[in-house]
Amino acid sequence: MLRYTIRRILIAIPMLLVITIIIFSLAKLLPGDAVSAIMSGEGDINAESMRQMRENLGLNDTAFVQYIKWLFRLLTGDLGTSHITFTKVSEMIGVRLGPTILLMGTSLVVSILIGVTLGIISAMKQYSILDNILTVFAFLGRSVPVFFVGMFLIYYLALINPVFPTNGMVSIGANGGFKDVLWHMFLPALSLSVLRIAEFLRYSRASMLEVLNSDYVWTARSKGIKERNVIVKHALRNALIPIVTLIGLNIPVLFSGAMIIEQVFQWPGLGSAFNNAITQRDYPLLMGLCFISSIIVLLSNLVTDLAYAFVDPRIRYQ
Amino acid sequence: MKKTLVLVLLLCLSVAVFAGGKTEVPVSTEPSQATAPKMAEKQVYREALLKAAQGQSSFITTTAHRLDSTVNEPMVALTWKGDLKPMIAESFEMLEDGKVWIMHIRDNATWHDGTDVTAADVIFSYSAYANPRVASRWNGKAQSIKGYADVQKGLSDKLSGVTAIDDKTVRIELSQAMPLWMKLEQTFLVIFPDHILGKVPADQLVAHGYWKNRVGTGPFKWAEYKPDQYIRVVRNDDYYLGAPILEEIQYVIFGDVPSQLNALASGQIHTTVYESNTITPNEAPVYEAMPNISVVTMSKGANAFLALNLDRPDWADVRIRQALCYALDIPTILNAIYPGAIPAYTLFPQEWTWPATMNKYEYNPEKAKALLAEAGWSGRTVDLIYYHTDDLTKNLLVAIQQYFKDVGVNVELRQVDAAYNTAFYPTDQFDASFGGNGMGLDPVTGENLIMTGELLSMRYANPTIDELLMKGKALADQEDRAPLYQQVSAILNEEVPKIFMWYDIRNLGFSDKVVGPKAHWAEQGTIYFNQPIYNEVEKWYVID
Repeated sequence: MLRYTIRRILIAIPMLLVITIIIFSLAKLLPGDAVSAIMSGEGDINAESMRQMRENLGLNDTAFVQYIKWLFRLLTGDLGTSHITFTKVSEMIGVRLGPTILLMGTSLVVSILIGVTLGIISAMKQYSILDNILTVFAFLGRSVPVFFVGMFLIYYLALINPVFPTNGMVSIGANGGFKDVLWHMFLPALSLSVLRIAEFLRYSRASMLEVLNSDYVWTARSKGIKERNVIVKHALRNALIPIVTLIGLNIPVLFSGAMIIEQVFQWPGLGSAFNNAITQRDYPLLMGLCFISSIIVLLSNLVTDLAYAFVDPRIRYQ
Repeated sequence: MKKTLVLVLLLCLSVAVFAGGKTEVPVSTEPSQATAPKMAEKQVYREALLKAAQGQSSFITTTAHRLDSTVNEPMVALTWKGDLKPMIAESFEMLEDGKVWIMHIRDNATWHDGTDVTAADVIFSYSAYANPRVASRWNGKAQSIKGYADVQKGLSDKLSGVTAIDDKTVRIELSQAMPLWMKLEQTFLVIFPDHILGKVPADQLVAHGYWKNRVGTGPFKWAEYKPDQYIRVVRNDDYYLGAPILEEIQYVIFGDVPSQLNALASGQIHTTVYESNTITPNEAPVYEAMPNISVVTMSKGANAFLALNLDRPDWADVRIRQALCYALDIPTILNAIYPGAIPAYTLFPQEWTWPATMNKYEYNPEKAKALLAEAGWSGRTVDLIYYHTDDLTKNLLVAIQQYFKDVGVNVELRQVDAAYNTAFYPTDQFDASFGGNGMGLDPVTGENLIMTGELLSMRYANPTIDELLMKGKALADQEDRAPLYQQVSAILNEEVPKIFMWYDIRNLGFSDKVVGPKAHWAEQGTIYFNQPIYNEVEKWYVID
């Protein structure tokens, strides 16, 4: 297992390098740069100021030189400085990571708990009215765009019935503590959860149904084991294997943020920073965010693979 | 059966929660209460701020100039009425017809850290604007000061025209007399502390931590900055014009328009930004009808135009450009889509710059077709780029596209983002661009749209216009300037280097819970983009 893990980590290094080259090339293919983004506002736009700003930011270098400089800085642990806010990229990511993990983590935990539970119930009550209602909910949840859910919730629960705030993460200057954060987080977390609950519900229902109809479950039942024990001890554990994959796939999202929902609710996380980095051509921030996300994707894939071995004793890594 | 009943009840309850409320945004048809407003116990004012501006240096920003009115200040500021108000400078004198200016710094003007403001701060700040290694987008505002060319060439770090007579008196010498310098250029130049920034290498100035924790001279002191969330500034009790009534201003950071409007409707902010189209003319009555919200319609001070890329041979013949004007029925378009906007026949929004008679290019598709045929229009499809994301602009452009199509000019609308759009200006990769720049302060601020060699003039070159503009800038009285600008307007009206279409309006949303901002903006009437405005912020207050 250890050798397998080390091998996977070593393979990840050249993969990361290739990923950064691809991202940098794609970013450079976008017309415009941070200077044209800064200068796009109303006001004086003159070619000389733009040239001078590019010189200061190193944007007059060739793309190759810019990439090599970025790479060398990275080797010293420096992700560079934002071309828009002139803040260290590591600092920008650090400040936004907490809100993102909080929002995405809450949404993921809530989704797993509710989605998997409802999925199992749905499978156990296959073709019942409850199953049909949950199936309709799941299809709705999967079909309705997340921004629509967000706007719908803002309209009804923040404007028509002003129970929650429309945006932000805290009441400014109020020192409301964690309770205040929870109050602000309710609508964005709920918006994100609607989609994920539906996802987990469908996966766990399908997985559970497959397991419930397998030979070993029938064997257990025919031995006279109580249905409750059949479900909990025999069916559930096996049904969770595909769910582990789904959770693993969701881990990178925990760290990369939800671009749309963060924008809709002005949540100060990495998703909206990613959005800004693209529209403002903030290459250092864009590269930093993609680099960190890539590491997390590769690591979470590894963790997911390793988790299989714990969940399913049949899996062993050489 | 019992379980099914419970489920059905739960479902009904859920539907009731979401559908049980009103189905429209809350509006009030009740007349406002006539009772006298009572000052709120907590004096906190909240204003929207665009995300792009957060933490940015005043040397490069356009929208963070709010902080140049509340935390930092210029020596002399432009007021909401368009007058001059001595700020850090208690008074100033104009000598030699505007070639030399003497500014006297207030004795009680201090930085928020207690250090006295001195002439050294002025010398440092003005020189920094001019320094190419600082790369300020506002360097043009220092170009009239003597020594600018030397600083630009790297021969000196300091403007030779800015000198200290003593610690509290500064002498500014310009390259040539410019009686309007104080208003047209100086009001943009904000003063920064030499004792904090003076030793910082010029090329690292905009990246300095100062911009995220400013020390200023203004009525409010920097208190807290949370990236992507807010900036808090608190009352400066020692402010030389008297301590403000407001305890605190919170600049709430927004990345998009809908969130800002939601925050206004729910009372989370008191004022929207003026830099983007937040409330369209069609939406204005909806917000106006909401309780405690007012909409102020202002002139944007900007001309909406189609900037033609004059490198294209297709636009070389003036008859083709004129044909495009005849092809558009601007009054009808505005009436249907953009009520309140005014048709434009030249560049400047100031009425005193308009000649008595101008060709109004009244809608005449037959004449447009004839001119196009005469000039030998190639019939090619025109690539028109735009970066605006609001529905109003899109609707206007679709209407324009249809009018052009009717006379045989096919236009392909290409939406790009703002960075993309600006990157295109120096290139040959587009035919026309939809745009408009604020020039509410003075026609001088529109120079860069038409002067030879300017990026935004799109390769338009007319030495007569250049000469007239230079002369106009050198005169003080509007009466003397008017004939010169009217001549420019007449030439532009005839030559149509850009297709001038209308003068924009902009709606700003205000909460009636704050006394001050709405009245000042309403009185201002025209938006002055990108510069700090003195608007008596120390007198604003929040009511219950």
